[in-house]
Amino acid sequence: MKLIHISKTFFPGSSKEVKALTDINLTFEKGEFTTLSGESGSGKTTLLNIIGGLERPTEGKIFFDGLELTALSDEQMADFRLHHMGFIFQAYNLISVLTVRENIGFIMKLLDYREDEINNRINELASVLQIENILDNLPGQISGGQQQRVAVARAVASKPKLILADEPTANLDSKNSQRLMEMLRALNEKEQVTVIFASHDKYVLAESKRTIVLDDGAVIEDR
Amino acid sequence: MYKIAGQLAWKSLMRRKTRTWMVITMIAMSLSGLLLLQGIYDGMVSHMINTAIRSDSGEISLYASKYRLEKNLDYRIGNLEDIKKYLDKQNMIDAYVIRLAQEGLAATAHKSLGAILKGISLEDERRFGNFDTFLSQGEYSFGDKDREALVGFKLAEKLKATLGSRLIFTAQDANGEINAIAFRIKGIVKTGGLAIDEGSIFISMEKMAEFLSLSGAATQIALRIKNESKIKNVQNALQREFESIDVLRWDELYPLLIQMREMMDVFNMVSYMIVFTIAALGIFGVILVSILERVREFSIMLAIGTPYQNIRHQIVTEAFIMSLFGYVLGAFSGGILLLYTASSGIDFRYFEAGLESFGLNAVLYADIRGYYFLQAFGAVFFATLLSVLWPLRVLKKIKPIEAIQGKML
Amino acid sequence: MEFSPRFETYVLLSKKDKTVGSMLGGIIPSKESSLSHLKHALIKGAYLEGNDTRAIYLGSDLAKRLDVDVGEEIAMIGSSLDYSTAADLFTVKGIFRTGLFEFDSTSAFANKAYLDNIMMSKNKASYFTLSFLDNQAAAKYVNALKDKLPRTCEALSWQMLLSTLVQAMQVDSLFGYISISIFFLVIFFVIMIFSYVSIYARTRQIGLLRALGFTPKDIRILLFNEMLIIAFFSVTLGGIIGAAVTYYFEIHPLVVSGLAETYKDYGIISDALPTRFDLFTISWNALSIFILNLTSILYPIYKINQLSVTEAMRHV
Repeated sequence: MKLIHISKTFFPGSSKEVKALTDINLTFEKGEFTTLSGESGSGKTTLLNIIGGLERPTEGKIFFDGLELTALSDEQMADFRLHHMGFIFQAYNLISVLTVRENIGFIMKLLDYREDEINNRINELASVLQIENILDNLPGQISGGQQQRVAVARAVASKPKLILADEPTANLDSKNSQRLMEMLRALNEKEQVTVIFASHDKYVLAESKRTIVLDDGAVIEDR
Repeated sequence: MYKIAGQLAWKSLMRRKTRTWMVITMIAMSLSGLLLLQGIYDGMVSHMINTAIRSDSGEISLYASKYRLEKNLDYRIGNLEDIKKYLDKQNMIDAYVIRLAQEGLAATAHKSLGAILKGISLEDERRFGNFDTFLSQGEYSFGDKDREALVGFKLAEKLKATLGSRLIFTAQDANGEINAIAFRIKGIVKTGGLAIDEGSIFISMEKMAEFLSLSGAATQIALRIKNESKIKNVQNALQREFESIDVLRWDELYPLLIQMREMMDVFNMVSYMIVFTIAALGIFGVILVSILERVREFSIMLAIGTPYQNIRHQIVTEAFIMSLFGYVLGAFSGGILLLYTASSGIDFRYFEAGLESFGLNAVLYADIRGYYFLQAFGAVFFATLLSVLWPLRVLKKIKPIEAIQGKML
Repeated sequence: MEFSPRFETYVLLSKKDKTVGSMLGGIIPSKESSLSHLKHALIKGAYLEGNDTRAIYLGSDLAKRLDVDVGEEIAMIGSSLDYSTAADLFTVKGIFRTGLFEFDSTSAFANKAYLDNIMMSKNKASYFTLSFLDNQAAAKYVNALKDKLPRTCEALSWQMLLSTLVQAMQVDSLFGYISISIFFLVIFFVIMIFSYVSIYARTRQIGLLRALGFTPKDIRILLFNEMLIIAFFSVTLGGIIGAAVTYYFEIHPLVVSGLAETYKDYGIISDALPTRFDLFTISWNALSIFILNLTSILYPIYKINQLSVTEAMRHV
């Protein structure tokens, strides 16, 4: 994945104008486990959203496997996300009326996977993420740490090429944060899925293979 | 994909059971109320039409032309035998009656009032429209020597006459002479039709012919037609056969009843519109709130790639599931209410006299027609559609990014 | 109060070969004109006067039935008070139309002073009609008169005389009430749904209040008071708007052209739909909605008080 001359300005032209990102150029390889880091307001979440197509850059282009994502329409982008990307958000990111099992299988269902394929995949992920015993619970009945693991399971279930995680540990205690990261790392190695975080959590940073530090909308470190 | 939306819709409704039930109950109760109202109103009009047909006009009535305007014996049907011969041959005609009427003054010892004296055959009237069932007091008979009469109950009341009272009727006969005839009241009839209840006296055809010095003539011949859809055909055939006679259908003779029916239809429509516009507001409230409280959930669904149509479909399905349940429940309970009211009626005895002035009985029976349920379905459907329009606009404004930034929480 | 005696009898009226039974009323023209609409109902010719002799004032439909016009002569046959036959010739002086079909087709009036000569009814009347400035006073007078009058006379209010009309009005309102009760039912549910939803949106806040020491009773009072305020303002606003609209239509009635033409036989004589600005009806309806408002939140309040404090605080 390639980001070329990405800039993002909020409220352009108005008095509230904010330059969130200026001229970002980055390349991500398949199987990366990377964290976008930086202080609050450094632009890391904005960059992640732009990568995920949830927001459009003011300038610049993004290519994924040769496809120009920035040229896609909103609907095409949504379809692209459905097929190729997985998302993990801070919290409350499950569908409250569906059980854990149904939440994990949700995207696969949207993609018209067969029932047995979905069930096999759910069981497989449940054992990796240690959530076998809560598969039939509703999100409201399980802990925050468990919820985040379910969100991870849902994000990787359909084997997307890219997983984007925005502060996935923000609402977790240290023990749960560590476990979540270990599991994500294991999935990354086992399934060769590319994972990009936006986080300044030390557990996330500790597990990352590559860290990109942003400050005031620009990359100041890439290691 | 629609299957997922349907599942989500169902589960969301189940999660907010009380709310869902409130909407369903609202639709069901207003629907059954409206169905009952419609049934009763239609039943009232049908009853009036039925009474008018049975006691007076039949499906078709024949009058000498001008008679209905002039009410004068000069305009009478004379060629009675020809007409009878013709009518007897028609197999579309179930029954017919021949009546001879004249306006005049009815008097008791205390009071005199304008009235219409009608010569009829009791047996024919019974076959024609079960006229005997309208008898409220006394006997369905003109006595041994045809010297007695049946009187409309309002007329009897106004004349302060009761069974056995003596009445004198004064009128002009066929020769223009003023004549009087006396008889006793044998029975009192109550049809619900004003013309009969307030102003008619019935005596035997023979006595009437004698009184008016006029035999082999009639002022009205009323016909019952076997098949409702054939009324117009029979009318046209009769008109061709007897050109000098007015051949009129009941709805031409009682335009007010048709107007009432139309008015009731309009009234029912307006009721439906008002009730379901308000009901739409109720559905709207629930759907809107259910969207607003799930903005975050929807935006996450959008962010992970759920197509917008899928969510829209979910919302619409939620609304329609509630409506459908409400409709089924309402149609069912309304149907039962209607069935009950159609067979046992609702008793409005307290309003009896008022209802009578409309030509109705104290017990009102409902009509049941299939189209009520169709119309009700249409109303529920449109109310639901109306109620989701605005919420869907709200939904459209949700951007996946907002959930992540927590803007809308 | 105004009053006038009337003498009423049933007679046969004829013109050539047409004979029609009719009510013939002897009236005092000057007194009658301030009591009833008879004078204003004139459509052709002239109204009666005190010195008229053989003049008759005919209902429009009666005139049509007799096929007579103003200025023509008709014969009258009836029985006078001494049971002898009374007959005379009258000239049609005027034709009236009240819109009451029955009345217009069976009523005729003559000067009482003259009619008394023929009918032997001098110093006699069938009845007196009384008109009150204040409608409420009628009932009181009826009772007072009952005591004063000799046994052979009775005093009746218009409600008793026109009992059918009164009951027809009742039936009309019966159906009105049935319809309105369905409207109220659905309004009740809509308010209940909205209050339920808005109360539930505050479940966590209510849970917090409970945690801080509010009892379910306090919650009930709190929510009920809120509804009281909302209901008061909405009903006041609705009442004012509704009243304004009604008031407007009372002054400028809705006109449906062709209405009078279509229904002329049924006593409707104007295209305008009269609207009545009636404070009683308005306040009655407003009060009903107000009470509806308050009862509709009982269930939502009950439901929310069923939740335990912790359930409420964890509510999503």
